[in-house]
Amino acid sequence: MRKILCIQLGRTGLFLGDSFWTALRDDNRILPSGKYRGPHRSRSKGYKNQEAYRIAFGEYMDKAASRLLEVGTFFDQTSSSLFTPRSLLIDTDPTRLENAAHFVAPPHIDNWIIGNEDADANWAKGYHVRGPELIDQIVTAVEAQTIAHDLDGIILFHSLGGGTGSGLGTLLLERLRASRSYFGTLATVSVLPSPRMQENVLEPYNAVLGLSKIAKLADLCFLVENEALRNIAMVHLRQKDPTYADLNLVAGRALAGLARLISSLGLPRLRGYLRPERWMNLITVSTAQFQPHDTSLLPRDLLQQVLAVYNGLVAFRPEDGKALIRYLLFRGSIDRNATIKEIRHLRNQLPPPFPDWPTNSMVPHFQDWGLAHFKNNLTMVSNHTGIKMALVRLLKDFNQLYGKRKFVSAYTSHGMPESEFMEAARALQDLIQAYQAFENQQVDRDEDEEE
Amino acid sequence: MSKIIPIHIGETGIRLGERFWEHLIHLNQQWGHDELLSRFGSVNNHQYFPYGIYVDTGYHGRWPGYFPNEDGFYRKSNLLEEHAFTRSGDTTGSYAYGFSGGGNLLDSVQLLLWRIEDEHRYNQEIEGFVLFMSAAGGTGSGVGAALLEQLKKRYPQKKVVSIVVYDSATESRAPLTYIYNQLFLTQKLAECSDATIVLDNHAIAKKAESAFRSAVPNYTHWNLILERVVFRIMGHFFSERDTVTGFVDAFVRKPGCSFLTAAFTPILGTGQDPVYARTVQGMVERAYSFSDLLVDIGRKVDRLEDTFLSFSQAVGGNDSARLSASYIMSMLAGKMINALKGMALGSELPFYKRAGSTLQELPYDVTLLMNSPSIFKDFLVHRILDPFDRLYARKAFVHHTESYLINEPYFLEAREKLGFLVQDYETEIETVNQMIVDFRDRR
Repeated sequence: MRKILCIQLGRTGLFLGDSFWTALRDDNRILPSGKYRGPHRSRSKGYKNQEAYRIAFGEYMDKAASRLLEVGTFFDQTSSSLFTPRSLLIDTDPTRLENAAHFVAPPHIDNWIIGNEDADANWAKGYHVRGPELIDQIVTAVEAQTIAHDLDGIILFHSLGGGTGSGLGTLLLERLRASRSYFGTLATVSVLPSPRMQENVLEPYNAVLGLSKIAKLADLCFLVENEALRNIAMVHLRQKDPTYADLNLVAGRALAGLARLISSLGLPRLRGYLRPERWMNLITVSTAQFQPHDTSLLPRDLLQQVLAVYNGLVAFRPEDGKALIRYLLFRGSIDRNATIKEIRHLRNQLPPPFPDWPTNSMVPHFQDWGLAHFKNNLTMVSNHTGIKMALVRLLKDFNQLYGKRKFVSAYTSHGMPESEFMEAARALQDLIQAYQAFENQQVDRDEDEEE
Repeated sequence: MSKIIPIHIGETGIRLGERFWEHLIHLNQQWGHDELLSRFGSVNNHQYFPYGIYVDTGYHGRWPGYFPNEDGFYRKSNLLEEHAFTRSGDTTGSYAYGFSGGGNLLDSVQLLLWRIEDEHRYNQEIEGFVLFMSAAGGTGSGVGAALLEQLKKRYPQKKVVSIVVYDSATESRAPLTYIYNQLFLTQKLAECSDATIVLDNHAIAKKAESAFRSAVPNYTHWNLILERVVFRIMGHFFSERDTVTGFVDAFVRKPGCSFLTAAFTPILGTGQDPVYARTVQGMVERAYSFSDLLVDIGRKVDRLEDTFLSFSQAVGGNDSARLSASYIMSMLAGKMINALKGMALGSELPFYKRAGSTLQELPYDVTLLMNSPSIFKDFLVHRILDPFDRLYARKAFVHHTESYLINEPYFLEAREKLGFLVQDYETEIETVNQMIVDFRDRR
């Protein structure tokens, strides 16, 4: 029932997805060969009689069955009871999928969809030229998965800077929204480009054109910013010049925590809880630890880390906006009493987002299983209006380029009207203004009381 | 002989139901087979079958798993498989989804009800239904509301009593959306349920924190408290002369104003023994101080300010405790009752006294069940309408329900009806005050 299909699109999607699947597979105790090891089983301590043993075994089997339900959210079980990621690997560039053969957690070969030629990191080429070649094949594959699994939702891993992820991703979401066979939730994990790790100059164009449409099409956008990942890798992994592999490792571990939350709550439910308004679908994910730790941290340290500026996958300061909902997923061995006390303490310290907002915006969840490499860990999924700062930064880069009309012909030559640039920029501008309006919204309570 | 059918809806309802049946079996082992089974269950070949109906959307391994059988061993549930209904897919915590999506579920429930009716037409007839649900979740509120509507439509003569668990912002797993769910359910309850017993997780969490000395808002602890209360409330239907109709007639004066609140003393952790819990007298005094009230209304209950329309008191304990309890009831509780506003009318208002057997790990316990307009009015305003107004003023989370045709008029209609309910309660309080004045004048 709570089955999710992942789609890994473009280069970033492939490699980020791979590190995500690696982390998730380790957390779920699935071996590289695909064998499921099941929950930890305590040694037999000499049961009193056969009945007692049968009871203990029955409880163990119940536990294993309920965990198998959660594992089945993201993994497919083959006929030889091996677990493979339920994922589609898609790229326009045929050479890159050859690399995917070396992936640690590759899905079944039927789920690979390969194009003939690259999209040249150009949104227009991905959307107008390379996209239509592949799109029918992709939609057919998604529909086949929908029929086979009764899907709850789709998560799309892609970057907004490139041509395939951004252009083809937009096209795919448009087609899925219009599709008559798929009604489930659409979520994306979108990677925003950063000027410091720029690979080509067109990234701001691609990102603005893609994000302006995807923010309207998707139900939930889990944003990941390369700049923030870079900071995390520098601070926590202590690397002077982090590579993309490091960034993927960081993001993959954080997103694995998100996946655990999705498999315990369900994606439609999370969508219902996270968005106060329909347009408010940009979500931040933060994690407490990135470096594997042998010691278990105190709840206070975990909470302090997760609320720190440098631990979010999107960089913004807490005073940039207001935290509307925060989901806290504690995994591993943790003292629940101390955690709850700490959260209550925090509720008193941090002001509520609005004086009349009816809740405190912090919701704790606990999972005492399913965590590899760490003793304990904390993942926070939050809807924070400060995320508009990422859009502001993006628009600034965009305006620098577009102010002098640079490289516009690279887009118009692929059949894209030039007016789309301004429309996309205006759409993002409107989104930023909507966030500001929501923050500054004044509500007259007197009228309500009179009624 | 008449039969009462418990219906458990959603996760909370089923959890409560499981513990209720467990207590019932425990009790039944002491009392023998006949009386309770004919009322709630059925016997086949010396095996006990709970006769409840379990309704849930989505199977997540939360059907009642194990019941203790006669030998004391735990074995797989002997719940009748055909009494459990499920539908693939979850309500995703939304009232709208549960209310409009629970349709095909309700048809199969209806089929079962007809079959039960056929089966018992000649010797036992169905007298009423008891519904267990939570107000916060999608299944409890949505499917619960739809089922209430259907029961009222198809069985207008039969009485429906609901036991509803409310949630709060600090304890809820569904932040904010639960506010809409509980508003809609409350409105449906006022329309369709003949009597509703309100239990509040917020108050229970506060109590559990002090009692168990651990700041854990843990469902295990809450359920330990809830199941005891629910068992005592269900104790009102245990004997044959206590019918559901009688219960409703005794407690509810006016059809809309049918919400009852409960208090339970003591709320104990393991290995704790406060001074008041050592004697029955201490327990009764403690109970009537209303510090163990199971709803949080943002203020303390004042016995002289709040009005009480009807009242029941159940004392549980062993035989000697029950003997002394009857003495206490006549002496001490009489005094307490007379000090309550509204109950000064004496014989004009119903007052129930009863005693039950010992609950597990508790030597004595006192449960109060009351219809108090002033307490519930404050609960309604403070916990249901106030958060709704705040949230709805920003139109937050409204868009989720639009595709299920639960749109702005639906919200406003429910809000308006509950506004009228508040007015009803206010007039009710005024009437009672007037009655008291008249009564004193006549004296």
